[in-house]
Amino acid sequence: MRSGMSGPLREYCSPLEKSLCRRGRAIVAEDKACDRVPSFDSARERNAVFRPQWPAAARMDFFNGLKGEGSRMQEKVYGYWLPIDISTHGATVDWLINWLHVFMVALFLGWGVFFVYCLVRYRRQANPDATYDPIKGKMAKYVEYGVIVVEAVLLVGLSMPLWADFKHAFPDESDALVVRVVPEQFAWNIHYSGKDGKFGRTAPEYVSADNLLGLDPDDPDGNDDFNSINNLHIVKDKPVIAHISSKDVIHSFKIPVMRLTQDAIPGQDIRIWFEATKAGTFDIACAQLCGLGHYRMRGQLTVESEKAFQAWFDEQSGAADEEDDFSF
Amino acid sequence: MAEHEHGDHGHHEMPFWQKYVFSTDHKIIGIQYAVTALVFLFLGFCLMMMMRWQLAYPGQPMPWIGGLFGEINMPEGIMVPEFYNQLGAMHGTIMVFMGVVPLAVGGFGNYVLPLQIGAPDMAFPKLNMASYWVFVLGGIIMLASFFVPEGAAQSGWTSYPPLANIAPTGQTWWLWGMVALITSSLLGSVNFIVTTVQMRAEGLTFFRLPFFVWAQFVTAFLLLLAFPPLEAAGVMQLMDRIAGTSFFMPSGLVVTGQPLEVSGGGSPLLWQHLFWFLAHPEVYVLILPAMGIVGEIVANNTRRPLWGYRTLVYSIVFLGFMSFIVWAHHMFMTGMGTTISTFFQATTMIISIPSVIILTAFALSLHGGSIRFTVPMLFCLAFIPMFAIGGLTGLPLGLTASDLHLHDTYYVIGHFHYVVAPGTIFALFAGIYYWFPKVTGRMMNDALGKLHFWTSLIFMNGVFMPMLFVGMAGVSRRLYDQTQYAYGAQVQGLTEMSSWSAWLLGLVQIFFIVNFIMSIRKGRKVESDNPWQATTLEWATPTPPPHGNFAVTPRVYRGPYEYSVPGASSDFTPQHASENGQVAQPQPAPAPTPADDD
Repeated sequence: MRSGMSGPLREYCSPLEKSLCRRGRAIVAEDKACDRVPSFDSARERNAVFRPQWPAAARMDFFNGLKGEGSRMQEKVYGYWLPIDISTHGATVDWLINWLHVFMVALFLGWGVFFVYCLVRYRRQANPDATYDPIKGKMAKYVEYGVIVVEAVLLVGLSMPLWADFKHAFPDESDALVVRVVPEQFAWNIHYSGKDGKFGRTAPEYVSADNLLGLDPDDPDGNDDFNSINNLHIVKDKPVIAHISSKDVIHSFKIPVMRLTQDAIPGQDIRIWFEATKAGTFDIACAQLCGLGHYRMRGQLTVESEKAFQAWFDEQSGAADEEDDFSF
Repeated sequence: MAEHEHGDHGHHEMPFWQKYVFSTDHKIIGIQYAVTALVFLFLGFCLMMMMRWQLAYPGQPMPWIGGLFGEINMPEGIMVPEFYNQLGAMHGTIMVFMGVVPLAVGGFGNYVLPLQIGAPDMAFPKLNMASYWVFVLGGIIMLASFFVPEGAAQSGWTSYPPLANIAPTGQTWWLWGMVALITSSLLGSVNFIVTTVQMRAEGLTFFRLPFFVWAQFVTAFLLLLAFPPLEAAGVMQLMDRIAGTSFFMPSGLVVTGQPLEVSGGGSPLLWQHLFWFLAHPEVYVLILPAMGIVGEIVANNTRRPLWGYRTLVYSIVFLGFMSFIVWAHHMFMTGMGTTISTFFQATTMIISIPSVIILTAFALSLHGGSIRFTVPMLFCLAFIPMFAIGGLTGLPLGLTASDLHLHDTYYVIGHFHYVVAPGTIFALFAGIYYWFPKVTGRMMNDALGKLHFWTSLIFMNGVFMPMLFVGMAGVSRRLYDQTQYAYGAQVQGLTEMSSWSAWLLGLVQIFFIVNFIMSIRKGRKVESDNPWQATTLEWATPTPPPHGNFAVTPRVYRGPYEYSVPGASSDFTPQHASENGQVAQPQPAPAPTPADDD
C-alpha cells in the first residue's frame, strides 16, 4: 500500500510473520508483493485468465448434478454454478442442491403465474367491484401439502442419511490417511504423523516460531511429525480422516470442490472424513471470519497418486526426523 | 390504567423540547423512533456502499471520498482489512438493531398500534419515552466506537468469541451499545404487550384486531423472551473482556505465537447458542411487523377482506413459537451430531410451512379484488415475491446435506437479504407511504413514489441475485477480497455487478428522501381523515391525531377488513361504524376530557 503500488492488491506480510505480530501493518515490508495470481486491473484482464463460460458449462454441470453425477465440468474447475465435485459424497449434495433449485423455481413460477394473473385480471379497471367472499377451491391446500411432502422426503430420504454417513460411517483409521488440521490466524497447519504413523503430543507451552504445532520435543512419537503449512496433500481414492481443531479463534475448514465445511473450534477436536476422486490442486478456504487476514487464509489441497504422495510424505517426514536428530 | 399526568390531551401548546424531545406521547415517540431509525438505516447503507467498492475493486483507491477516512483506515484511499471488517460488523449491527427493528417496532408499532386498538396512548408512556432514549444512547455508543483507538467492533455482527474476546476496544463499546439497545427493546416489548391486552377499545376482541396489531403483539413476545439470553451473553462477554472471566474462552489458546493469559475452561460454542437463541427469533422480529403492514395495505388496496384472517393469525403465532426452536441451524457446521441436527433440520422445515401459508394467503387475497396500484400497494406487492425468494433460498441452507457446501457463503447473504431488504424494508417503505397522510395530513408525491419503487426493485435484485450465484460458486462471506481464491476471481464480475447495483440503489433513494422531506411541508393536503378509505381505527382519528388520539372514544362492531360487504352503501365498512352504518361523530364542542382509558 505504498506509493507506486496501486492496482493489484499487495499482501502486508506472510501468515508466518503474522503469527508473530497480531497487528500485521506494523511490519509491512515494502518488497512483499502478493504472490497470488488473481489480482487484476480490469475486467478484461481478469477474463483473459478466467474466461467465464456461462451458461454452457454451468448448464451441463447443472444437469449432471440432477442425474446424481455431481458436477463434472471438464473444461474448468470453477464456474457460475457449483464448482467441480471431486468427492465421494458430493454427488448427493449436488443432486440435492440442484433438485431443490428446480423445486424452488417451479414453485416460484407456478405461484408467480397465479400472482401475475391476479394483478392483471383483478386490477381496478378490469374489476371495479371486489368480491367479499373468499376464493373457494382446494388448490392452495394441495400445493401446501405438496410442499410439506417434498420437504419431508428431502429431509428424511436424503439429508439425514447423508449427514449420518458423514458423521458416523468413518472408514477404519488403518485404511485412511489421518491428519490433524490446526489453523491459526491466518494459516492452516496440517499436522502429519510422519513415517511412524503416530502423532506426537502437542501442548500450547511448546509453541514457538519454528514449532507452530507445539510438538513436545521429549515425545519420540513426534520426532518424524511434520507440519505442512497451508498445504494439504492427500491420496486420490483413499479416505482421509481429519481432526479439526484451532489454536486461537474459530476458523472454518472449507474445500468447495470437496463439498466440505467444518468449523475449527479451539478447545474441540472434531473428526471428519472425506475422499477425493480426482487428482489436481484446489483451494482450501476459511469460511468463518477470523480476523483481518481472514480473506487470504487460503490453503492448497493437492490430490495425487499414492506413489507421488508417498514420495512427498517420506521426504517431509525424513527432513523432520533429521532436523530433530540434529537439534538433540 | 394508563397514567395521564398531562390529562390535558393537547389542549394547550407545550414548549418544543417538551413536545418533541421529552415527549411521552406514543405518536411523537413513534416519529422520533422512525426518523432516527431512517437515519441509521441510511448510515448502515453507506457503510455497505463503501465495502462494495473494496469488494468490486479490491486494493484500488476509492475515488473522491477515499481520502476522508484517515491514514489508518484508508491509506492513500485504499481500505485496509481491519476497516473493512469494522464496516461489515457495524453494517449488520446498525441495520438490524438500530435500523429495521426500531423502525418496524419502535416507529410503526408505537405510532399505529395504539391508534388501531382505539387507545389514547401506550399503557406506560414514561416507559415508552425511556425506551426511546435508551435506544438513542445505544446508538450513540455504537457510532462513537468508530472513534476509539483501533476502531469499532470488527468481529462481525455475530461477535463470535474467541475472536471478539481478543478484539480491540471497539468490541467493548459494541457490547455496551448492545446492552443499551436490548434494554430499550425490552422496555418497549413489555409496553406493547400490556397495551394490546389491556387497552383495546370496547368491542375490539382479539379476533377483531387488525393483522398488524397481531404481528406487533407476537413480535413483542419474541423480543421479551429472546433478548434476555443475549443480554446475559453480552454481559458475560463484557466480563470476559474487562473482568478476566472465561465464559467463552477455552484453555490452551495460543494467539500470535503467545499463550493467551486467560483462566480458560469456557466454551466458544456457548456464545453461539445464546446469540442465536436471540438472533433467530430476531429474524422474525424483522419480518413479522413487515407482514403486518403488508396485510393492512393488501386488504385496503384489494378492497376485499384479507384471505384467511384467522389462518394468518394462527400462522404468525405458530411462527413465533417455532422461531425459538430452530436457532441451531445456524450452527450445523460446528461439529453437530446426527440427533441434534435432525431435530433442528426438522424444525427448520416445519417453520417454513406457516411462512408458505402466509404468502399464499396474501396471494389469494388478490383473487377477486379490485386492485388499486397505489405506491404503498406496489411496495407490498413486491414484498410478496421478494420474500418468497428469501424464504425459498432458506431451504438449501436448512438441510445439512446442502448446507455442507453453502454454509457461510454468499448464498447465505443473498438469502437473508432477500428476506430483510426487498422484503422487510420494502414493507417498511410501504408503511411510510401508507401512514404518512395520517401523521402529517399530507400525501407523499405519487410520481416520485413510483419512480422510487421501480428503480429500487430493479437495483435490489441487482444487488442480491448475483450473491446467490457467488455463493453457489463457493465464495465465503466476509471476505475482504474474494479474488484471492480462484473460484472467487471467476465470479468477480457478479460481485462487481452487485456493487454497481448497490450504488445505484443508494442514488435512487434520493427520490424517497426528497419526497419525504418535501411532502411534510408541500405535499397535497388530505381531503378527509381517511384518504385510503380504510376500515381500521387509526383512520377514525382527526388528522394528525391530537394528544389523546380520539375525539370520540371508539366502539368496535366488527372485524378489521370489512371491504366490499354485499349490500353496504360503500365498499368499506369501518370497524367503528355501528350496525346501521353510522360512524360516531365528534360533538361540536368536545368535552374537556373526552378519552377515558376504558
